[in-house]
Amino acid sequence: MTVFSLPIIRQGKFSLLNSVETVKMAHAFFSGKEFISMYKQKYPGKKIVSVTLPFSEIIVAMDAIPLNLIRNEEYTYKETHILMHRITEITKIFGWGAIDNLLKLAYFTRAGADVVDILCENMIGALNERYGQLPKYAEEHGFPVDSCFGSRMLYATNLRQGKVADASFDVPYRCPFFAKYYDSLTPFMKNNYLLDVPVTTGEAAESFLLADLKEFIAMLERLTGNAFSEVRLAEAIGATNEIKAIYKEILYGICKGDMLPYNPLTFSEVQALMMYGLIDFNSNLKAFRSNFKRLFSEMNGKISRGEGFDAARCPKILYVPMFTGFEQENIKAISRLGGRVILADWEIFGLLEPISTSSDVLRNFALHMLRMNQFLGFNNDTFANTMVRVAKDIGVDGVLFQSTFGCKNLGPVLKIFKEKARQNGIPVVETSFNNVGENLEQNKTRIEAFMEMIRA
Amino acid sequence: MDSILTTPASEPFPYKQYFMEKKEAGRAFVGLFAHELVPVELVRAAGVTVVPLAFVGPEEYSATGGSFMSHSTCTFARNIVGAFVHEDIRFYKQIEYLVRSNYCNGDFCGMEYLSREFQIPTIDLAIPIKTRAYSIAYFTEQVKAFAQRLAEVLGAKISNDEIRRQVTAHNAARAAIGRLLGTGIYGGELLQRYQEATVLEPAELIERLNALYFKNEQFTSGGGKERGKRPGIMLSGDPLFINDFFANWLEEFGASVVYYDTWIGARMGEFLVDEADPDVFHALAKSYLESQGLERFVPAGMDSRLKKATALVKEHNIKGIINHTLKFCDFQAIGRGEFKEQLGNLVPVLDVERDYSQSGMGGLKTRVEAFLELVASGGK
Repeated sequence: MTVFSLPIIRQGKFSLLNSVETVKMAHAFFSGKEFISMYKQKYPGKKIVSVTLPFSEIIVAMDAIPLNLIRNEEYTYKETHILMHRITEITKIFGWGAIDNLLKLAYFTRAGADVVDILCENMIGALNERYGQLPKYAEEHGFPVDSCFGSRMLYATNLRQGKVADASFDVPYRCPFFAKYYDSLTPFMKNNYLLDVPVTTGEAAESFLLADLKEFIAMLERLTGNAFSEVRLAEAIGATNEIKAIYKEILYGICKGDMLPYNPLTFSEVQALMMYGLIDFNSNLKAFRSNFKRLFSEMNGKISRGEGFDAARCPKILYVPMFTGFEQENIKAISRLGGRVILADWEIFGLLEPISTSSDVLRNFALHMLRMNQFLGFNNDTFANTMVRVAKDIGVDGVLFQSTFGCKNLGPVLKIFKEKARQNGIPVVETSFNNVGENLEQNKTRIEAFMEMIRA
Repeated sequence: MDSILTTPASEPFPYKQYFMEKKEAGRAFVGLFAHELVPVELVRAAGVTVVPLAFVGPEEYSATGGSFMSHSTCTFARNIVGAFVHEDIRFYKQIEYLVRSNYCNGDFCGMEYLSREFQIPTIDLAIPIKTRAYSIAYFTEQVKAFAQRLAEVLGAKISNDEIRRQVTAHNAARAAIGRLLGTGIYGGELLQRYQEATVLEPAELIERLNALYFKNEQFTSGGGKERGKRPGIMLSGDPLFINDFFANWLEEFGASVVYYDTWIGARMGEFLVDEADPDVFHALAKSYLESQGLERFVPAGMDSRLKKATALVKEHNIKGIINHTLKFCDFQAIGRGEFKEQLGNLVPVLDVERDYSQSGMGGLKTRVEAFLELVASGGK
């Protein structure tokens, strides 16, 4: 039997106790391949729809399975895949209580005081490793080398994992290049649907988006054999509204506060899991909602029982944008220098706002998508204002702006954002990379200088 | 103006003088990021002069522009922003309003920065990414809103009758552009006419083309131009903007571009706005969305482009294609490989990616020479 290797145990961490929901979320995210295969056996008629942004309520409403294709990768980094498989086996037979007991046992032997930290770090490390490999894979398969990191990474993921999906739901909001990228998937992605979310609001935009959504729904109806139901969409939206409300509480409550449920590095990695998990609800909305709710209770429980981490003296650094690609080493560098990272992309893009479930639910869903215009919008000025507002609302001490080479849409906001942040007394540092794992020393130097400045 | 319009075909068009005369006539200048999806009929119906931001400068302009946006914004958009900073293109300084659209990230971000840095208000136009019936309905509303905003900011009255007059005039100009291919002109001369067509008002353009070709006895009695034995080359992809040295450079190396399948090129003469449509805004929206922006629209924009290029090769006896990409262009990078592969089955294809620098010209020269040799040998 293969056993995953335990790295050096770090002292003084209390993240182990009562963290079973954290492990559950990580397990669900990293076991995508296993889960999808299981769903396919259990529900052979169900269709899988690839998604890249958290608008998957519509997929769930059509009784299809949303899948962020990156989850279908096999994560071999430090044998993460074996660990995931073991967890699956144990929980199948003994339930999640067994994992909880194992974690507690490990804690009392002192051998596993950092087990959850290590799990999270290894898992995000595993994701990071894939992020490092995928763009190169895309380049090897003819995708333009000077395209943004996100498109290269996603292209490779689609090329490698696309076969598992019966359809694809693409939302290239605001970036015309991304529309072209999505279109380039058509030769190998079945039923590749591009939804055009306009950069304007008002009646014309609303009718336009509704018509487009209806065309997508018609395609899914043909594919799944299921008729669209407003009731099912309302149910799905109701569930995600709950999740989003909790997400906001984590951002504006826990992240803003002084006591964290884990050490800062683990907490940032849990935030990454929450963020990426929201894209496809780890392919199971009900389970994700339950997991999310319990995770929140677990976090609060740890804090109230004094099992958390006193981060009162750790500067809060907003890391944005990160959904287009993030560098784990930057997060580690901030943590090593005594800072704590907050990831709030979905809040900045307006995607955590609730959607009304009364009257015309599809229209409400369309209006929710159009709401991105108030957060990101037609102007970089709007986007910069939103980042400043969220930074102030969370009370951050600084912002790390993550530029990725080749990004032509979000990257150009930086100059405007820096001006506005300066006017609001928010320090900003820019780090950049072309591929994950590159520019590490340069970024580290910048982060060191930045953290020194914040602490001064 | 008459003397300007009869500038000999072989001489550079005096754009500076042209815009100076417009300014002296009291015209307001509206800068238009040089893309093909903004219905210029509406801008001209407001009685203003359109200044296409189609004049490019040396590579340092792009570097300057990059400090505002990012250095991976397309080289053309960066060059335009840089041109404003360097102030060499004087008539840019007299632009009072900018038309900004979401055509591409360069337009979207570049115009915003120009507006911020130089305090030039923008008039926005949102363009969909698909061409479905509902996209046309949406774009119709955007075109209407754009006309309203134009009227508001310019303090002008834009009547439907005036828009219709402009549609008719522009259709006539497009028809004249379409006739250029029949004159037999090619290379730099043909390109100059297309470039001038981005600037001149319809009546001016027609007058100039009549003077140079269609009603020029010296030209017509000579049976037009013969391109000799040089094999015909088609230039596709990103257009060659005004002042770009690349066009002359290609000629010097003997590349006879007989067809420019670009939006500063033959595509300008390939569509007409339906004058019989009772809703002129719908007519504009429909014709622009359905006929222009082939590289931009999804889904399957690449398929349409490949089909069109294949047909053009046969129709115009094209012996080789130069597929021209400006560095970091949103729409050209993806699909370059496929274009070369597919069209390469018909004729030799030279895939060129460049910015406005001269540094890589040595290597490019070698590639062009090899390409021309291949074309001359019939692709063997």
